[in-house]
Amino acid sequence: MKTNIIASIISLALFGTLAHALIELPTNTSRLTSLVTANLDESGVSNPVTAVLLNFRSYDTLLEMGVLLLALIGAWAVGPRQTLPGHSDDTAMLIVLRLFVPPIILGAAYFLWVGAKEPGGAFQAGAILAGALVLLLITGRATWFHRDGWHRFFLSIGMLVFLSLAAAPMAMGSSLLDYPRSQAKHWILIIETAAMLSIAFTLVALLVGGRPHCKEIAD
Amino acid sequence: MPTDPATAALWLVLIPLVTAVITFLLPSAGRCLVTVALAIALLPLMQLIQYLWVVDGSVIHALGGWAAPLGIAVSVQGDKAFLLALIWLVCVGVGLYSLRYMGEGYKAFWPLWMCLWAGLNGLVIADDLFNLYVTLELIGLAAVALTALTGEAAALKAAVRYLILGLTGSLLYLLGVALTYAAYGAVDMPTVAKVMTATPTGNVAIALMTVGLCLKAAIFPAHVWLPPAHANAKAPVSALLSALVVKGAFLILVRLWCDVYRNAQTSGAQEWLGYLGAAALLWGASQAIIQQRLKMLIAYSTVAQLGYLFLLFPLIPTHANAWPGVLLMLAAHALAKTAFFLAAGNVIWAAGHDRLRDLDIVMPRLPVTAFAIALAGVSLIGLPPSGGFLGKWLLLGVAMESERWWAAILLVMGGLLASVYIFRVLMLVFSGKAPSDAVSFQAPPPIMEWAALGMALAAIALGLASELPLALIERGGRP
Amino acid sequence: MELSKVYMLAAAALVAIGLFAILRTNHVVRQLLGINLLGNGIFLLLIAIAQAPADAPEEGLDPVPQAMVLTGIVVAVCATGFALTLIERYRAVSGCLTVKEGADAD
Repeated sequence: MKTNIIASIISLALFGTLAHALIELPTNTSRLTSLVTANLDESGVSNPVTAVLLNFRSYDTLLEMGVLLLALIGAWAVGPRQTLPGHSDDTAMLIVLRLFVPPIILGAAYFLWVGAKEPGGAFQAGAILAGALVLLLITGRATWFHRDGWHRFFLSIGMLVFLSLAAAPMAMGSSLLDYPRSQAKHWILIIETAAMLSIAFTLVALLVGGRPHCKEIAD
Repeated sequence: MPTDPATAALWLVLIPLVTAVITFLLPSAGRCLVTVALAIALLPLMQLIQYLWVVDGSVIHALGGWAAPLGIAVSVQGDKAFLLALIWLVCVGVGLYSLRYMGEGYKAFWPLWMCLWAGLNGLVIADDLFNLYVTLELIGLAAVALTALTGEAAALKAAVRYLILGLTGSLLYLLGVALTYAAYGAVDMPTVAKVMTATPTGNVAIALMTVGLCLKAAIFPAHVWLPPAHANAKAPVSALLSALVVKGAFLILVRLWCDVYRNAQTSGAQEWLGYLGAAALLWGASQAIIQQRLKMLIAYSTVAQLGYLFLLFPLIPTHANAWPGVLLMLAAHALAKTAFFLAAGNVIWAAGHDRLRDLDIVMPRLPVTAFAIALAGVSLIGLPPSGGFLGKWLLLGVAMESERWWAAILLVMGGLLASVYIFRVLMLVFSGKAPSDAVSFQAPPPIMEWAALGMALAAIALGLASELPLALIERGGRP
Repeated sequence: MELSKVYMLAAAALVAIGLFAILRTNHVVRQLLGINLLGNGIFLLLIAIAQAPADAPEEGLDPVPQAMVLTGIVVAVCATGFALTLIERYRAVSGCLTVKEGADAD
């Protein structure tokens, strides 16, 4: 009861202060919109959000991919995963698989490609691809998911590719993440493809939780 | 390798990140890869320090060639270079120790530690409020995972608590960043500092960021998660958490109040951080004195030592000696606390437990470790010629100059209280009890004992050779 | 009132509810849900901030806060996934889902 009252008071106070701060918010503040628009042509993509994520503020995205890998390493460090469902020959599941997995993969590829112009991008595509992986996993069809080496490769490919392409301009005497302006489009697409794969695999691995057993690899 | 001093700072983020990925791909090579990474990182670090030494300027780098506020900028001045060097030194001590200490069952230690190192270096060099949020999460999640590494119930419980508080803290910080962007239209720190005026939104933003960061910096009364987390982790992890991780949030607080929001301070709100520091000092030290376990004692000592950093917080922007004093205290504590926790790891290795009352038959058989604890204690108490003494001396001068007598008294009293808990440990060495062979005793590997001693010696050396670090801190301006 | 202000107030409410959930209970899964609510409140706030100001609608959406939301979501998903694995492990080892104050002295 006491904690309830204290929690209510603190939360209401926070709501009050936040509401006050937001209502008082000046409407004439300068924003970065015009800066983004002015430099959009040089970013290699025409979707401003993608331009911010993968060009103007790509250092944030690089560290964010680090957080993604870190969360997975952390989850694996905590303990072994639970046993996964075995191979299923349920007719309904088979139909679901045939109907859904190919369009899901196609959809992921579409969202990856369209991210350059319209809403979409590596994370959206990765989340969709993860759906297909989950379907394969719960019907016991993704046995390669338990092979430690391949698994680790897919989980870290996003980070590997991103880090290599980020550091490559430094070796050429330019700054970190400073892609050659004329090829920026291709560099962003390569990074996004690798990131999509890692995002999808990491999401599924976090869903399963825990590190793979040695026994599973033997199976 | 690096040719431009500006990119040298970024290599200090990239090297650990690359190492984290490779140690994840090749788990059995973790030990070698981390050693190589620590050695390679010395190159950009030396280049950075040498550059700042000669040029006496500030290194600013716009990432991706996009100048802030559109892009993200990182910058290095003397004080940041000093912190980068400190982080590296603590990592070397922890690394030497872990070579033997971290067995085959702890392969995840190496990549997690590398993520932590990348996050810390990224936090130090960042000049962007949102980028700081990402580094905070990198550090926070790595720290929680490292705490949980033992898999024991106490460590898991401490890790869960640490995680809940840490996530709440970083989200409150993020909320403050969102409000800052709404009010000032940028998250680049120098840009925000320029357009800063005291508006209601700005005040709420800084208040939220401060509360969030205080949770993460474990300043009294938000310290409750710290002792169980630091005491139940593996020894090298405890050392990293106490020496470096809690300091990260403190460093952001200093930059926020003394740099970004300097012109907008309308009230004495930051005075309260000083009072919290005073409370932390007294509470942490008195709790350390009554602890029954060695590692809990050391963890509460961290709560107390964090109080020193906050004690003169309001004076950092105005008094020339306050920031060097705080940085020296921070570095001396980091080195001494690393030594102390590593030494505690040796004691646990030898005795199988860390109950203080039963250690009197173990401590006399670990002379090198006991000497490390004694030297670390000298710095934690603040006796000459240690780094702790010098930092405290500078802060005492600032307290006198500003006529904050209460702070001056607390600085002296904190040392006295620290001496009580340090001598509680050291008394065990001279208990006079004959080491009995009946008790199980497993001698720790020499490299572990010498790593602890090396860190303690570094804390002393910081006081003996203080001209170098003090001159470095002054290079390229202050926050 | 402008529409973006309504969204901002809703975001403030979400943040407050999330904080309430974190503070009022010792049950770590509920606290984690509270953290997610708090996070979603912040993301909603950032989306509302991205709206064009009423006096300059031609400026259009600001992509920077939107990109921050995407980064924030990935971090939040990672943290939640890791937290659930950790909490599940804690439940398996200790048999409970609460972390009480005190009782940590040894």
